[in-house]
Amino acid sequence: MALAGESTLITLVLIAVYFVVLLGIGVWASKKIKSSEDYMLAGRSLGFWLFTLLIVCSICSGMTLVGTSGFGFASGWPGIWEQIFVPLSAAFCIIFFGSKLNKIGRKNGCMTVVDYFSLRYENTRELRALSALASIAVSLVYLVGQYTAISIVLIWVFGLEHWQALLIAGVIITAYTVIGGLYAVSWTGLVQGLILIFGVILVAPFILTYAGGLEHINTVLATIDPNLVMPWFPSGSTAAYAYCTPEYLFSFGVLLIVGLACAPHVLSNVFAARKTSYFKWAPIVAFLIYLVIMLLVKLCGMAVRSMQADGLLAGVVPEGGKVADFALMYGIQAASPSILITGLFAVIVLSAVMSTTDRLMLTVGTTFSWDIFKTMLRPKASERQVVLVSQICVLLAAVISLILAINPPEMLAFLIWLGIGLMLSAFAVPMIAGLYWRRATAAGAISSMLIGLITCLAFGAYYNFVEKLPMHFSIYSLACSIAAMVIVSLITKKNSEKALDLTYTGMYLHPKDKPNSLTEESKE
Amino acid sequence: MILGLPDITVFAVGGAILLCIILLLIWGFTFPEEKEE
Repeated sequence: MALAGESTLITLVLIAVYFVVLLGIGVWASKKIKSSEDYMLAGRSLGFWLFTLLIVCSICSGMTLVGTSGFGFASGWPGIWEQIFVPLSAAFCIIFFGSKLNKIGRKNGCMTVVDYFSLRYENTRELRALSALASIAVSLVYLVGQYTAISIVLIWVFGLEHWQALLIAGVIITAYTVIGGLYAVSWTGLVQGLILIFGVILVAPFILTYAGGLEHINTVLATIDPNLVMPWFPSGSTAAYAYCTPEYLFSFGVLLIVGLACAPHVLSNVFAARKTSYFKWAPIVAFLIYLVIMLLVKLCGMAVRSMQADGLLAGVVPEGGKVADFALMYGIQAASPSILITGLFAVIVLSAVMSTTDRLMLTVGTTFSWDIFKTMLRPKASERQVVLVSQICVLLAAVISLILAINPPEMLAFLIWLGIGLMLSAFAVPMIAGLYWRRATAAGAISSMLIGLITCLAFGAYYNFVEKLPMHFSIYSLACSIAAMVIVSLITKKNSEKALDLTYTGMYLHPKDKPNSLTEESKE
Repeated sequence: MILGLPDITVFAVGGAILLCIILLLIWGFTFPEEKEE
């Protein structure tokens, strides 16, 4: 399964260079950190490209390369919608949350999503504690999945033991994240993003050409199963197909577009952009960049399926080996004309996985240090102490998720989907209602968050242990969360007009510069 | 049939991508210009 001999040596050198660059960025970034705002939000100074790539990289996880190609391998064209939904989540996040949150953050000093909740809903304790804990728990579930994906790559490259692979990756990522905060995460994200974009564009043609071109791939897929070239699987079909029926795809779309956009590690990025004017073209740029990468990777997954049918993977796949999980790796191993390309490919996959992992760890660290330590436990803590607590938490997040990843739960794939489902069920309704519905109240937000979390776990367990549902289980918990928000908000007292104006609450996308209440206050 | 794909797949997937691009372009072109502080 692992690469061998000379190939390993070249790959090792490439990966070593890559790691040295990342650590170098971490050391450089650490010199720029003077305050907690620098550590958490890179001093709100990210330029257009840094911000746009940070959003793409935060969403672009281990699943993007390892999972997407595996999904393409297994389900062909009906799975292609994932490649539209995930890039759309970046655009959705910037359009529906970015413009308002960035401005609110700048004017009111909000550093995290939890800060926003507390300002908008005028509730500092219960909502803050609940959303901070939910954010940390969901990020940790997601982190375990990311570390496992990193380990898959390193095992493939070096034939290392799982724990050795985890330790190497864990030490490198933790080092630059702990010392460099968001400066390091965003600049390494830029490097990782560029490697990913140009790498995939460079590598994918080899696989597609080796498989015989797109037309041949589609013809072979249609011979294996005519449904593999259709836009979706027929409704009410057997369980093996159930995840790509039109109704399931609808729920999948909501889950990915809205759920990922609400994920704390993605959403927090909008606070760090230097100007709101970046949100003009960032949605389409992020969408197109991600669309191209994801489409190519998905097509590679389909190409590997066709290669397998044509017997082109002989000698690459070990006997009895599962092809889906390693589809892209086997594809490049079989198709690559040069060991240099294979080495480069290892760096590309690592870039994709590491770019989400560092952001997730930083989110756990900052959520605890700012939302729990600074705001709830020690309001008088100095900037230095807050940064120190952040750093310790990033370290702890790494240790905990690495320990969990050493023995990854058997239901890892399910846990990752559960993680995104929980993000959707817990954060989507309080966030959207908070920004666009003036009647939404703190009690409504707390109940929608709690009911969303509980019903998501319940429907998830039902889906996993009792019977499959026609749609993704998170869509049912989202409906419960919406109902809780509407009912509880309508029977509780509305928030003050001042808080609503300060947080630009209302049915509009572009916040006006001077909210009424502020103007009136300044007149007084 | 284009590239070995049935027409419905080409129209559904291609149409969805085009629609997204058009909507995002509309967002960009209608974005209000304002003075940055």
